[in-house]
Amino acid sequence: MTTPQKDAVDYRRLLQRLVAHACFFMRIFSANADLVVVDGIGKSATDFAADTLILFLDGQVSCDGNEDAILAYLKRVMENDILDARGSAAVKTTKKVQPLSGETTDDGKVLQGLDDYPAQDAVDLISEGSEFKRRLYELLERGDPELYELVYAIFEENALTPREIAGVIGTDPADVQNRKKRLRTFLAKQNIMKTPARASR
Amino acid sequence: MKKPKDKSDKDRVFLDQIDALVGDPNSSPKDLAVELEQFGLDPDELRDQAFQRIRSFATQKYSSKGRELPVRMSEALRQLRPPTPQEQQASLAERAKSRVQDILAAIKDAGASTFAVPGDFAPAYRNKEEETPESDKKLLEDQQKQLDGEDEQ
Repeated sequence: MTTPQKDAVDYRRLLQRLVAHACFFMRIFSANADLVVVDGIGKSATDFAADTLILFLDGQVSCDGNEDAILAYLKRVMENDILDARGSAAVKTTKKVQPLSGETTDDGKVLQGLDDYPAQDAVDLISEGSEFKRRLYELLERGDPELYELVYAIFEENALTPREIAGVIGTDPADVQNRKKRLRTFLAKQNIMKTPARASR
Repeated sequence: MKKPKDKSDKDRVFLDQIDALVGDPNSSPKDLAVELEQFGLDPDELRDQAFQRIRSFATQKYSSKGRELPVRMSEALRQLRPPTPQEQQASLAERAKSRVQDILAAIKDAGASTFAVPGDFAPAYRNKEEETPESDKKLLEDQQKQLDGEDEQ
């Protein structure tokens, strides 16, 4: 009996897929954070992906299976890291401050240091997610009804696999995959959390 | 060992939906490269940066202490190693060669189709009048007179 080859992984592709996922993920949850890096800790999508890959290569996170299974697991680890980073104290107390802005509070006190500013709220997935959904629906409703259907099936009907989504929309899984590719391109091209929804109509 | 932290059920459902929304639908390497470029990332630079990062981690934690690298780490370093200048040059030459071959094939195809289709003259040429119309004759004569006048001066 032969042992299945455990490490038949294309690491370059795995890295690229992780980075792409980190970019999408950070776009979705970038309502208050900078697009390129997470405010306060200065980590980019590439940093998160590389750190997650290192955890795996070093055996600090362990999973077996083919590349897709490894990717699915590592995506979860990375998502948690990104959300944890966004909820960290450094992020909560960081605000971009113009040193000589002379901003004052309502009672006339001049703001000087970071501690004078109110802390940002902790990450609330559901409220940030609702804002993302609202903007996405607004952009797609008139712009691309096919993508609107796809998003609706996922968020409102909780259809997660291409087969389930196809069942809700009334199409076939291959068409769902094509629509998902189009949606990825749409989301990659514009940061919808920073684009006024009406501007694209 | 690091484990994914538990999230609330609501958060978990939402993260699953996000994954279904932007999950990787078996993108080809070309699609992935295009996608990364849309995010302003160069795939080669990405590979180089990841290689440097993993190598520096490996050196610090393993090589400098005389310890052997984990199998996955050495395999990843092998795969992500940036090409040497010679390899880069060979790859560029290979790419140029294949591009030239593509262009030649395209020219060959275009030539074949040009000669394969019988000539079809444009209606304007086919219906061309044999005699120059009076209006054109007058224009030509005027032009000639003007040129003669310029010569005499």
